[in-house]
Amino acid sequence: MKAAIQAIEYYLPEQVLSSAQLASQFPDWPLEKIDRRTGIRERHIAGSDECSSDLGVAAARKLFESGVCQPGDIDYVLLCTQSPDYFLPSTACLLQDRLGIPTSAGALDFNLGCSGYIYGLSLAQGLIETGQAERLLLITAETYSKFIHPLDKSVRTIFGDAAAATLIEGVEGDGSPYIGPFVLGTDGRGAQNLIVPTGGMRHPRSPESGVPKEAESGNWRSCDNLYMDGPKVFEFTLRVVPDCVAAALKRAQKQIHEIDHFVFHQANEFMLEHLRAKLHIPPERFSIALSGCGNTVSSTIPIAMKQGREKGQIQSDHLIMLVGFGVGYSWGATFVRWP
Amino acid sequence: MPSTSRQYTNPIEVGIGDQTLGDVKEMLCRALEMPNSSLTGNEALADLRAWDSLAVLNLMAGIDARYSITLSPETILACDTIRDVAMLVSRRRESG
Repeated sequence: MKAAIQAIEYYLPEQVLSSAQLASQFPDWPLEKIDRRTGIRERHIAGSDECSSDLGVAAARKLFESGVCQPGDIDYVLLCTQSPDYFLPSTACLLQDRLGIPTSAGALDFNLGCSGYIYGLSLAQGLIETGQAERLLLITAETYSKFIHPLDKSVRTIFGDAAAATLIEGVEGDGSPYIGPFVLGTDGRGAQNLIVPTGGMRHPRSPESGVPKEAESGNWRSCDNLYMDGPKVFEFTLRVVPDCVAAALKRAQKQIHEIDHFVFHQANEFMLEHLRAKLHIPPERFSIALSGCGNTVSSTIPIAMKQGREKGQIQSDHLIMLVGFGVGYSWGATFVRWP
Repeated sequence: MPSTSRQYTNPIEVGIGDQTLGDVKEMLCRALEMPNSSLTGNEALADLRAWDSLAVLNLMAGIDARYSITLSPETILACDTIRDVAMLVSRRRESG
């Protein structure tokens, strides 16, 4: 059996934060500047009582309502999140119960950000092609907005909340893989450049850790908030992504012109356009899908794939290259064919 | 702290071409949305209007696109002037 993506659905919370709202709050950050640098017009923000499991449930229910499968068909749940409902239990266990997935199913969380979808596909392929699962639900869900200080425009302009649900199933293959090969990478030296410093066991939250301080460019944040060193993360991207793409192409024994479509992690439009031009990828074969939802971390790739399918950019049997990169640092690339 | 009174090495002596300095000036002007003709190259980076982390990012992108050289933000921030950045790029190009 070969693991194959059968369907993708995603869910965006109702509350919207528009670039116009941000521009009115930050007068030195005009609307045109936000649009041009990020490519993001709107971000969706989870409600105060809306957690990653709620977004994940909503995305998975859309999948079930589409008729591609029913909860009883699922025998494994993989949840990628860095904003779980609880330290414990695993949020994947909550999803199994709330979605009515059989108790005979395996379920686990894994903590990755922008590379998470690639790793999820890697795990899913391993589970299915070793016979441990037949029909797997890969859910990516984040509520980064809960980590973000309202006066930190550096991250507030970029990140949006979302969840995506991907059905991955074992199918009779035609010889060629539907998912893979993979190239993965990790460099923990970059840990401090994209981090929520407190809240774990290393530095528990405290009254002091929650006190916001003015930081660079007039942004405010506390140690309990998300911090991103944009230039350092961009440097990492410049150093890693082109090599990752080259290594994946080599492993797949493909040339860049043989790839029908490219879906990179939707970090921001400035970064994506730079990478696209550097790699000489034609714009019509390169997804840009940030405008209505922002950088949704591990959900950007499935959201872009779903939108690419709807727009006809991605068609059945297309060979699609997926590349994820970010927090960790962690990165990965793979190829998928839509059966 | 930027030093505008620093004594600069003659760019000809360190092999900086007009083209590299011109490229860096153009990238900065595009990043900072200012006319190219308004810069000599001797300006302190920190004194430029709108010189911030986004400008650093734009300069990194421009240098990477033009020369396939990835400079770290710290390296750029250690430069006092536009000319220093151009000299840094020239040295990197020479060292391959």
